[in-house]
Amino acid sequence: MGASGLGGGGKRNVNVELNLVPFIDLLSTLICFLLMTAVWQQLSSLSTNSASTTSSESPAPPDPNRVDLSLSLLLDHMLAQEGKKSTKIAHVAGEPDYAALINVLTEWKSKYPDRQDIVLHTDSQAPYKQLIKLMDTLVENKFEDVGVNTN
Amino acid sequence: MGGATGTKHFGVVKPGYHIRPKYDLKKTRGHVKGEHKKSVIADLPLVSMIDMFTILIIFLLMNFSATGEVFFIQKDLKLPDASHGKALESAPLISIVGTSVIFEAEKVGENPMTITENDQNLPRLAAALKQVRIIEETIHPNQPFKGKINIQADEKTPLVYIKRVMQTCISEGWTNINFAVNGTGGGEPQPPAPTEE
Repeated sequence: MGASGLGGGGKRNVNVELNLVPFIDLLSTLICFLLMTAVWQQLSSLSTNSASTTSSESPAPPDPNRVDLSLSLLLDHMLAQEGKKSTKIAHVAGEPDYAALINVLTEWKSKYPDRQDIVLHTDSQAPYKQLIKLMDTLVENKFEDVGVNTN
Repeated sequence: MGGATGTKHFGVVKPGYHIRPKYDLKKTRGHVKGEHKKSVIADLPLVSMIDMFTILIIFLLMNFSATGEVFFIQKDLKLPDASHGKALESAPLISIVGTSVIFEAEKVGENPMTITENDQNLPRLAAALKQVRIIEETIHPNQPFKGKINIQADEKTPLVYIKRVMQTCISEGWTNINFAVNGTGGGEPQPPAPTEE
């Protein structure tokens, strides 16, 4: 670092070493904080409107023109009911056929674009994950007001 | 005997470095004499370490969740996956684990192998829910009771156990039931439901 101010004979070295120590300190502190506050499992929730299906309070008078939409999950098939019309959807390899269900839901959505409510009836021996998967499929297809029948 | 005049005297002189090997081993000689010691101070390659730190921080920042963990999940409990769930909010938690029904870390019921009519109700769970409801209504006297509750269960749990817990919750006025699921992030993230304050 021979800096000569007068003669100009010695040129000042322009290469400066960056001080990495505080940078490494900062990174280490940040890593410790992020590791301690890390959430490894992203939890979310699916809500059900149980009051609409099992409430003992006096419900609003039913609209005679209103078509009830419901879905029944049984052990070997599903029943999609649109009023009195029902569509049977058989399971594929022991699991509900979600692709066929999406077709039915798309058809319902085109018929009733304002409707978001649907009632789920389930078999008692069906596994919990099938109920969740069904609710997830319904929410995905804009039927977000899902009521689960607990009877 | 003057014959010695004009003769040259050859003294004893130091010989020059005349024994020069074909391959001079300067370094070997230096090592033998201990002149060239290798420095023990090594430069730490910091660039690669900083690269690693930066990648680690980016990964951790992407996994960062400002809400944190709402509750603890047991090891032997696998939540079902769902891609269109909302953010899980803090609320009283009912866990259905194996043969037990647990409410806020306290066992409040059993899951028998066969469910009879008498097993439909969970009286201890109902009493605990009633107590929590009284506390909530006391804390917030001017607000309507929201009845928000979280349920977590293993994905293979038969729905009969879920339904009887739900029935007990509904009978005590806890109608806003949320199922805890493992968010797979496949769908659009949805904000939590608006709360009426």
